[in-house]
Amino acid sequence: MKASLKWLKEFVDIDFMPQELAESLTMSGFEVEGIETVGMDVQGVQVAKILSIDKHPNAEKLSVCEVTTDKERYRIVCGAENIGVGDMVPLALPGAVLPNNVHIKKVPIRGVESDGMICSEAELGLGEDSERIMIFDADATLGMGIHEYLGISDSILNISITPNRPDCLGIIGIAREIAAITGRPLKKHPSSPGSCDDRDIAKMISIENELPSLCRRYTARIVEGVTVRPSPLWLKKRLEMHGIRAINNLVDITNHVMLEYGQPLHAFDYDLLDKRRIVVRFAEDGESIETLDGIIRALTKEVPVIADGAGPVALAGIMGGNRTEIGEETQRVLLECAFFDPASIRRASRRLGLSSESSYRFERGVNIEGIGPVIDRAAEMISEIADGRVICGSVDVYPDKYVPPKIEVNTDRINSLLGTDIKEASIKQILKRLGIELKTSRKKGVFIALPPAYRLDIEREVDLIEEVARLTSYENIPSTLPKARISPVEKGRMLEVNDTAREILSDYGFFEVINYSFVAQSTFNIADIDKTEAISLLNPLSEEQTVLRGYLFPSLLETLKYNINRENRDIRIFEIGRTFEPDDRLPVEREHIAGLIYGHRYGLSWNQPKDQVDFYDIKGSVEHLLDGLKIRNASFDGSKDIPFLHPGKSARLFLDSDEAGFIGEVHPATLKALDIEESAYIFEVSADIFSRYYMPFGKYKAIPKYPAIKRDISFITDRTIEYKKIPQYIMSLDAKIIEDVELFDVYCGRNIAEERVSMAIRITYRSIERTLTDEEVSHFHSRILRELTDHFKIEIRDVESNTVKL
Amino acid sequence: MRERLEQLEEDALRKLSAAADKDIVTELKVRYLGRKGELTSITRELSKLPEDERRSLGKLTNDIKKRLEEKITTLLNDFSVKEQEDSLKSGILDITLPGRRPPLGRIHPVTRVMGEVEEIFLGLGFEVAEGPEVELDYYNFEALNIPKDHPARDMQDTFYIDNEILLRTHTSPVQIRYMKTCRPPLRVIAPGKVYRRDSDLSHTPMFHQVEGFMVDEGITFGDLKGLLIVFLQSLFYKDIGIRFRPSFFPLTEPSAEVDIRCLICEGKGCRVCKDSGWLEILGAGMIHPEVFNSVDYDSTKYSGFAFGVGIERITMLKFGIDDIRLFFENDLRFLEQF
Repeated sequence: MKASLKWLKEFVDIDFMPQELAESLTMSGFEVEGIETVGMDVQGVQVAKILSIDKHPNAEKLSVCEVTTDKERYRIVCGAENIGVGDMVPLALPGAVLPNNVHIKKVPIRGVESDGMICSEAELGLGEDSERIMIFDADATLGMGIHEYLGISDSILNISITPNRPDCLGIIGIAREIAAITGRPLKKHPSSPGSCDDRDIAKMISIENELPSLCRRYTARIVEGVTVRPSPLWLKKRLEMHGIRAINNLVDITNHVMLEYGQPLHAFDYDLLDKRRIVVRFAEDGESIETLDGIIRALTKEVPVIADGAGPVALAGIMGGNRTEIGEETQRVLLECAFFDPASIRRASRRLGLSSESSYRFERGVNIEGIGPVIDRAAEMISEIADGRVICGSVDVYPDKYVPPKIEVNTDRINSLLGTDIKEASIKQILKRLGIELKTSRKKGVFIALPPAYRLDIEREVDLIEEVARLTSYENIPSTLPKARISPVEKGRMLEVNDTAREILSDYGFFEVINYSFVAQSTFNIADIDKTEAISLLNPLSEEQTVLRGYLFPSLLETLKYNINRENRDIRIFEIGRTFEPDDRLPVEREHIAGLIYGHRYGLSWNQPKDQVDFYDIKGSVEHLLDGLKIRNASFDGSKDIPFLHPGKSARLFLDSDEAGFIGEVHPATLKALDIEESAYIFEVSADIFSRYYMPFGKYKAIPKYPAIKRDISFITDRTIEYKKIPQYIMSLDAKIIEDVELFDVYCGRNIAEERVSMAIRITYRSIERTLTDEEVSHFHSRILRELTDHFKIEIRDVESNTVKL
Repeated sequence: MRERLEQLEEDALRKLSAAADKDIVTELKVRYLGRKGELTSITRELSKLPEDERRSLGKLTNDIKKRLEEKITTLLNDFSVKEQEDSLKSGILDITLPGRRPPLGRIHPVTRVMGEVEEIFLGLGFEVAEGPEVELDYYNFEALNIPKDHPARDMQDTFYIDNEILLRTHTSPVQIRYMKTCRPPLRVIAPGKVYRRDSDLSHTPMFHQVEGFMVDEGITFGDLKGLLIVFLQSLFYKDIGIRFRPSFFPLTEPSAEVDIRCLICEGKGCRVCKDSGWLEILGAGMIHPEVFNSVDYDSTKYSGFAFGVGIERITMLKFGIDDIRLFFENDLRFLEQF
């Protein structure tokens, strides 16, 4: 809500700086988001009168005027055609500064010296008209600065009004609040009933309210003999400063009154109202209305309308219709001022997708008791500004009078919720300043508060507690520390898994990314989930964000692409976030951890190998992750059927028999579709399943007391034999004295048949009870060689008795 | 024999003196003093000589052996010192070449700040609770005193899945879910992702929030102030200026907006604080009696406060980031700075 300081001053004395006012408003719950100073960019322009106009001797389109400011006469060259002798115009003399920092100087124009310039609205920054010289009223004071004359030097406060305070969607409401904060009185407009035509208004219009619970008050007045024309400049300017476009004097008056009181009004052309009838009712299916914005709107029976004998003439509380619009021919006006049920207006406004200054106020709630003065003020302004003749009285349909809620207030309860020690007298004083009526109660320690009709937000005691706190100032409420029993805190296994995973992955070179939970349908499809499983947003912001993620890795691929496009070439990223799968009502949400690697293993560096990452990099990362989380019992099973992964370079991860995720090279077809040239490797695992297996404290194992003996075996085997089976088999022979089996070389290529592979393993023998002898190890080792040869048909290449005693 | 010995010593010493490196000295050592060396073989011959001759020549042999050994030791030592000196001279690296760095990743700045906030509250005895990101209208709005057709819904533009199901606009629904299953006293924070239909320099359709609440008998607005001051001082710095001003949130009453002194201009007024000298940092208030009604708490017995803080905003202020969208673009050149 924009509020002019000058306008506010009509209702409350403000003798401090706008910044100070802004500070007090902000600190009492009306955040001032900015202060705009208007009318300051024009300096030294004054009112002058045109004494004569002659043709320019050297230019057909120019004229030479003589003007006066009462003190002196000036010669001005001018190109506009709208001026006449006697017109009052804005005159800029040397030294004047116009908007955009234009400095006025004495200059010759086509051979005639011009002492200055007479200006258009556009040149003064006051309007859009640049063709015509701005002409003031004939009674303007010669020589007066145009600021002063137009009253355009002002400060506009941009105040954020919270939804609970619609009473401050008008100048008077804000002034009332300032009065309450500062303790100064609120000034009222001097009521000038003026003269009126005492014909019986009730015979001129019939008002039927079919929706008494929706339209709780409907008041109408009639003004005759109006002249519709542009508004006087001050009115246009004032509306413009408050963000409303001037239209004509009648419409401008209704807007002015709305800005002043926060109560919307509507003006109908009385003579265009069919059968002189107003009916407040729901639209009928099939009816339509062309609203003032020129759009024809089909209506349904949920939309409340104002109708005449022929059909809807306005969308109740939202916007008027074209059929009864005020125009140049309008002579008689019917003014409408009403109270509509906030929720109903909000529903209708949303249903129609149409909101206005009017609906904005109605859906928050207007002052049902304040309607009389508002419509009187509008009628008065019409008679003043549009030459209208007011018909006495109004038609006021207001069957159920407003009854304020009676709220019990207990001083102790106020103080115990706020943690204060405010005396009852101070509390009462604060409430009274806010226009709240107080009564005594028979109950001890309690009094009764009756809020005014414009404070619809005050319904119960806590609302009053807030008012007390607000006017006491939050800054004056002492801060204390809550008393609480010391209690154990638990972070939860899931958060611990996530935090540990973050540490491990970032330690191993992965950057954490955060992607949106919603992705494009095409991104969702990368994961090859059944499309019916997609959870779509009803109202996405863009095509790129329409469905909730079923997996994280498609987003990682998008992130990869984004980075490749920005020349970031070696990528290790991970993300921890939720995935969504449809279920009965709410979707199932699963926490996933996903990672992606791409490009060089070490980046471009003079002293590191320039290898590209491969499958075993991603596998190693996941192995590190499992290790760091102390998850045992993990196994990788080669799988050929994960559609978005390379069939020969992918695996499922199992924790015991629980499938916990997958790793692998992204399928070349998937990469091609994304225009990614080199191989990318991904993993995605379930943090939920991880959290079930994760051990915050792995048990300590004693450091061995006895030395180990290590023996290496080098052998050639069929590629079809999975390596994993070899150590498994060895360990199964006698796990007691075999501590470890490590693979330290794999080779295929020259000297090895195509379907074969050469491997080298090192077996560590150790007993936890005694020192093993060479003989027993040799004996056992020969058995292993024998068994491996028999079982796997391996061919032993070299048996190095690489004995290391530790 | 004596002449042979003297000749041998002379030869040996001459050769040793002429030796150019350690290997020659070692060779000479073997040649003269080794098991099959010249001096050793002479020694063996000594046994065949008569007693008195053997004794005097034996002494001579021993003396020669000692002198040669000394000479050899000195030479070897000299050579080894020289060798070390040489190696130090030749082993000079260009220490300005870049080091060999293992790849190092980073945790996302938003997660980091979220973790900081969590740690502060864990330290104050708050528990961590979580809830679904896709929520029922009931938990996200109605139970929090935001009925349908209430203009307060405009404060949070919402993504819908259908009429009743939406993406949570704040983590406050966790408040309801938690209170429905637990009784006071309670101290809880609910961190997580939230969604609002908004996108510009300072808004993204998804962001992170930490909601906190505390319910017990006798909790006051003064307690809310005290706790939030402790929190903000821990998060920023001890002397930071903090102010509380009235605001409106349907789920709390009285409601407050909490500002800190602008971190950029320290209150003088700048672009970031829009010349106000203050930065809006969180929203808070005393839990509304209607919210307690939704979870069947007796609001005449219990009171409590709740607050919500936007993590991206704090992260932006801490690191001086001026565009919130950077957080979700995930450009590595951005992420590697944290």
